[in-house]
Amino acid sequence: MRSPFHSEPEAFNFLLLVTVVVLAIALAAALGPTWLTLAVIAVVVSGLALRRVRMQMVKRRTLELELKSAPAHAGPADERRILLVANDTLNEEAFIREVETLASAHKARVFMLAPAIVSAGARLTGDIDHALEEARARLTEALDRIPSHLGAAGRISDADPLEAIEDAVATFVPDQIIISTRGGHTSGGLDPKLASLARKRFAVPVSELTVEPSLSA
Amino acid sequence: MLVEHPDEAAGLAIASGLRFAGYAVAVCSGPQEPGQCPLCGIDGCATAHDADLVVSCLGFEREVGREVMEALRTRCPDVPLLIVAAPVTDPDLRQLLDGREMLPDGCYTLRAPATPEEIVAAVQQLLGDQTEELSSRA
Repeated sequence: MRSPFHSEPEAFNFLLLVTVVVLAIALAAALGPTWLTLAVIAVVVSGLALRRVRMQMVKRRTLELELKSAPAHAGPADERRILLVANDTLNEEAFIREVETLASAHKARVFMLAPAIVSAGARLTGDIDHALEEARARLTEALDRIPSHLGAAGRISDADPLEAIEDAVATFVPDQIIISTRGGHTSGGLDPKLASLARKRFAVPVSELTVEPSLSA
Repeated sequence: MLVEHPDEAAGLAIASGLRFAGYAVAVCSGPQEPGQCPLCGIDGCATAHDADLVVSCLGFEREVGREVMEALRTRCPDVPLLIVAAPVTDPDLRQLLDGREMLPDGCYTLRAPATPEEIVAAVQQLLGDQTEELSSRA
């Protein structure tokens, strides 16, 4: 579910809606009989349900016709740009080996994106520093373990993982996206559905790299 | 550049070729049922309207393909359309297409099956020709 505080206009609209609803119910309760209060609540609930149905219909319609997009290839014509998206698997040996293999290929350029895993509650309250620190620490360790001559780079993101990928598609312009997860959903890890969501949105090949926890971890 | 292809992998292969040729791409798998494409409805399709060129691989055999191509010609007449399709051999379908004037001016065809490289070459030729035409007009 998208946070109502995701952007300034959304937060403003949400607060305005809450204020109007609370005010209407409070006025009805203070000045009118009980049936008026109940009627106001019924109107509010119906309005919210109607809005929800409308949004679902818009979403379903959008999903019916998937439109994927991608910018033109950037860099030299023979360069292959690979975007690796990972968080809790960043320091797994299997992941590091995969990055080394990809970055060793001729004219390959690898970029690692580590979206911070922020729960809906934490995003609502803005408590994202801990998740950002975790992502930063994992990415730094991964970059330290990969030989520098391979030229791998990376960055963290505080945005929703899919939006973080969208930003990276616009700035890094990958020719291929690889999303690394644990397979099953783990707390503090990327959603295993992320790859299928990315496949629906971007006109570049998107593959999954499932990494099991190493025994030493 | 808008690529319409019912097969996801084939659409991505064409998109990849076009991206490496320097074009930003959008890929649409096309509608499953008639009337599903926003281009045929009141909303229209901003991607199709704004495209420099549309590559349609939806084919003439299915009603949805014919519907989208007809909508592309009537709603976006200024957008060049490259149709990648097998020659129509069925006489009934031929008659139907003739009646609907599916291939008016601004519509180019490439015989299917065509490789992504052939499609990219056709796109480059079409857009190159248009640029030359515009330059000579200026």
